[in-house]
Amino acid sequence: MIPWICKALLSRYPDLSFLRLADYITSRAIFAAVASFLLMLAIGRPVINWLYRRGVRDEIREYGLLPAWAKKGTPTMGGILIMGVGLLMSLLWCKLNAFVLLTALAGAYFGLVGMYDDLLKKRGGSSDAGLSRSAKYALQFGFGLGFAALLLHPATSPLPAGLRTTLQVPFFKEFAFELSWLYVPFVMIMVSYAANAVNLADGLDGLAIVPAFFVIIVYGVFAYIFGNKILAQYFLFPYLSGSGELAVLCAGLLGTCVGFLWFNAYPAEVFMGDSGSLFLGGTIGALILLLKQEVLFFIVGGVFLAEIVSDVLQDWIGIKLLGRRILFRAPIHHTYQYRGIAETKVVVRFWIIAAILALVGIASLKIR
Amino acid sequence: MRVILTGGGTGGHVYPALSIGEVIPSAFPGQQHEFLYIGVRGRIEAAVVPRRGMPLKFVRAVGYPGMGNPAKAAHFVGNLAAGTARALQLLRSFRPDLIIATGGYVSAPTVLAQVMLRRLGLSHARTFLHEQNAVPGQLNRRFGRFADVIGITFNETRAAFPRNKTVRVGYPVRDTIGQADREQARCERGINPGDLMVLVFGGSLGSRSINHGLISALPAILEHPQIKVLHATGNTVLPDYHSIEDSQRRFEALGLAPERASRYCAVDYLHEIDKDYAAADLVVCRAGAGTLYEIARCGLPGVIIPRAGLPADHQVVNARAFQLASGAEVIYETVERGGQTVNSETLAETVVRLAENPGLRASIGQAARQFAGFSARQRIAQVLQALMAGNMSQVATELNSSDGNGNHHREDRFTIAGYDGLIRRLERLGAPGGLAGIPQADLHFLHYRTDVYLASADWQARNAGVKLAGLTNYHERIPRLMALLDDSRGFIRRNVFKALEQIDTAAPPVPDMIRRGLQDSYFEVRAWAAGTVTQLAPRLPDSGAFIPLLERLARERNFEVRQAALIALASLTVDGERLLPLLRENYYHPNCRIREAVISILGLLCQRGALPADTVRSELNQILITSNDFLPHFELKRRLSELDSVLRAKR
Repeated sequence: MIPWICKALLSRYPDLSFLRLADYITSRAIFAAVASFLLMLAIGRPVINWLYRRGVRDEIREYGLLPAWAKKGTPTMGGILIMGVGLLMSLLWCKLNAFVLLTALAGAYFGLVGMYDDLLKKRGGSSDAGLSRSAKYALQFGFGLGFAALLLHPATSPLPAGLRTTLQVPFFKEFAFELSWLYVPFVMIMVSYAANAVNLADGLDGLAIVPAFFVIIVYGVFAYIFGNKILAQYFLFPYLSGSGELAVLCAGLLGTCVGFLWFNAYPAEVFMGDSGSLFLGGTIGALILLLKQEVLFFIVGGVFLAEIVSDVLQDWIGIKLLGRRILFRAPIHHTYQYRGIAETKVVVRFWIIAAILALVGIASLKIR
Repeated sequence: MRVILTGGGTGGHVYPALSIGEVIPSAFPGQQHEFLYIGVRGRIEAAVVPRRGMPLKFVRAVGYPGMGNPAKAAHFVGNLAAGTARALQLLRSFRPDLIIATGGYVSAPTVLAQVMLRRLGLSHARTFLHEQNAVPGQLNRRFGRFADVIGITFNETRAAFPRNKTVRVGYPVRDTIGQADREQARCERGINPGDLMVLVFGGSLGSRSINHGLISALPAILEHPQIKVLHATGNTVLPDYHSIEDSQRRFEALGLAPERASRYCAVDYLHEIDKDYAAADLVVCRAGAGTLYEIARCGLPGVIIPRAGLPADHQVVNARAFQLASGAEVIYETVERGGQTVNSETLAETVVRLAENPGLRASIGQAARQFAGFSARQRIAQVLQALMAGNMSQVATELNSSDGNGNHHREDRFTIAGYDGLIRRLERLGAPGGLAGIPQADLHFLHYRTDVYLASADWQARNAGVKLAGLTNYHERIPRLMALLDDSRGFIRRNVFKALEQIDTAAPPVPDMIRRGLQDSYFEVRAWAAGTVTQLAPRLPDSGAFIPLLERLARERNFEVRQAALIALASLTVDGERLLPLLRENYYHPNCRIREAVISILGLLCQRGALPADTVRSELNQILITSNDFLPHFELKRRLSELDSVLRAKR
């Protein structure tokens, strides 16, 4: 939106040459990040208060009976903040091409599903009152199917024809699998994987938002490079015309994440809820697919991988099938807590791991 | 009037359908009546219905297998579709005015076809659904809302159906029941005025568990000089069981004195059951809805032995409902993996107790008579007339209010709850400590359900059974819990120890069980078994024998086991010095939970005088004390709870 306004202004008032800044991806990225962070700070407090007043709280019972150490009663569904600011900023600062629109679509869809889930939980008064497991999977896989169609159809896909159904492997230059029709179930699985992984990680204060932040940095960098003909050639990646706009979108999200952490840092004043974790997960899912770096997400999002693997191992294989625990607790962050490591320490350690994995991801640009 | 009757599979569904059919000519006099029975080939209706001279047509249907097994589910759906197609043809050609469905999967196709035709405006027929049991069958539960009226037999069933369409009509028993003359009946059976006749039967086919249980109980029962027992064994001939011969053999093996033996009479079938009821003073029977309404009509005190393991456990639910209404005695079968048995001691004790207490017998009989204090046939006639005349809702309101809307039954917390519900409810009651407040009858029922779950093939149900055994303080089942230590599911083995802690006994075989638990392959079992040692420590015989095992566990890598083993050792130790080397190994343990445990143990040993305070003080200086875990303290919330206590004090 803003690049378009600037261009219009510039054609009428050629003197306002500083408006040319809006043409550069880097400058727009910086503006988007700063603007979304500031917007988050500005509206964060009133929105949290509004949520609290509306009773959107985590397992509220009688307040007087809460022990002094309990976090219960914290407002939840802060995801509407992330989603609102994130989507607004991407639409505002990006040139609206297929890359941006598809990412925003995925984010918005998952964010709305999460919101619906949060509202069900609020109405039912317990965390068990949300969407059933099968309904959740149906909504996720259904979207994955539609998203695969959009990615593959020549009219809507922003990707060059030869690249659409391939699977790139990080650290290997010439290595790419042709998935052909298997790409459709692959998209469904990846989108649902990303969304659920972030959702599971959202169990301790700041545990989902910061690793998501690092993942978005890495994909932002990739988007910038792939969208730049010279850089793409230099790093021997296929050039994706228009993907640079995703770098602006990522920058906007980064500002949003930091702004949310402002309130969500331990002890949290607001939880993101499913609306936030699914929005972030859906957005990341779209990013990894649009930039053709799906496998890289298992490395960069290693924290999320650990969360989901530990949960599947414990819940599906252990508790349901074998009738015993395999880990002390699941998802994995609860195991560390159970072993007597304080919440804050667990969270910071996960952040460190996420940061190191992000560096590994960046390194995969050159080391191939 | 053209009437379709449908329902079957077992006699319990067929006979009420036929009885309701018999009501129709008198309810709608002056009309021509034409009947058609729709059943399933090869089931009991195929034998019974033609004998009554009623035309019979067949549809396909099979019992609902649940949706777990796709092959079975597909078979079910296929049969239901074929059956419904056939039923559609039958309904279109017969053009009924009234459809009477008594449940069972047999009536599913007809009811489904009728719902379709009604939706399409192709049928004007009214539907009357009759539910015999206190817990509705799958079909009635699903299709109840499509019927015009649902006639129920127990008030407990109301919740399952739409309120304004549900009327308690009872179970239409035979007209002759309750009409026979007592004196004449007793005279014919050679019962003297001072005698006490106990009538025992297990449904039309008899019951193996009641036959076995009764005969084993006979020596104790016949000790009471006035009791005479009339026992219908049923006429079951199976490869491994011949009810008449088997009962006779068992009776002869008792070797009773002739006087006592003469007071027992076995028959295969009660051909004149109305007279037998009239002659009887006490009945031991199953909990089929028909049987319960028959003894209620006769005002007889009953000892009800519900058959276990039927769909939705409906006899047990019937028995509970009847017990709440009449105070009849209920004896649950003992369910084990091999099958069910009736505890003969309980049976003998119950029969003799009732025999010796005429006042109790009379009050139970009186309450039973009130339970069925109306004629089911009359009510059904009334309801059907209203249904055809179109003033159903008015009649329903009238009948329901005359029935007190079921206000005579107290809230039943346990009967229809699944195992999760039972566990939740018991935990809320504070069981096993809080069990004192619940009636004995409820406890017996809970123990019965525990047995059922413990014997289940589904491991989650077995696991629930273990939890329930602990929550209901079921120490009779400790041997069964011991057998479950071989179960392949870790949770079950683990929860056995939780149950032992709740049952809180150190009597054998508990020490053996703990020993096995401490050597289990699953870490939680080892940890929980160590926890059981801690709890039972003061009472465990030969507790020293556990020390080597626990010392090995206390060196395990798994912190949960290590922690529990250290604490258990501390609870057994009298000589603190002996434990010190082991504790010292953990002073720098990387896991702070272990160090937390070590510090508590030192405190415990010091308190108990097992270690001198000076030693403890010097030991403490060698422990790595770090800041690891913490409980947050939110000042705002603390002040809030302060304010809350002020407000509470003001109230």
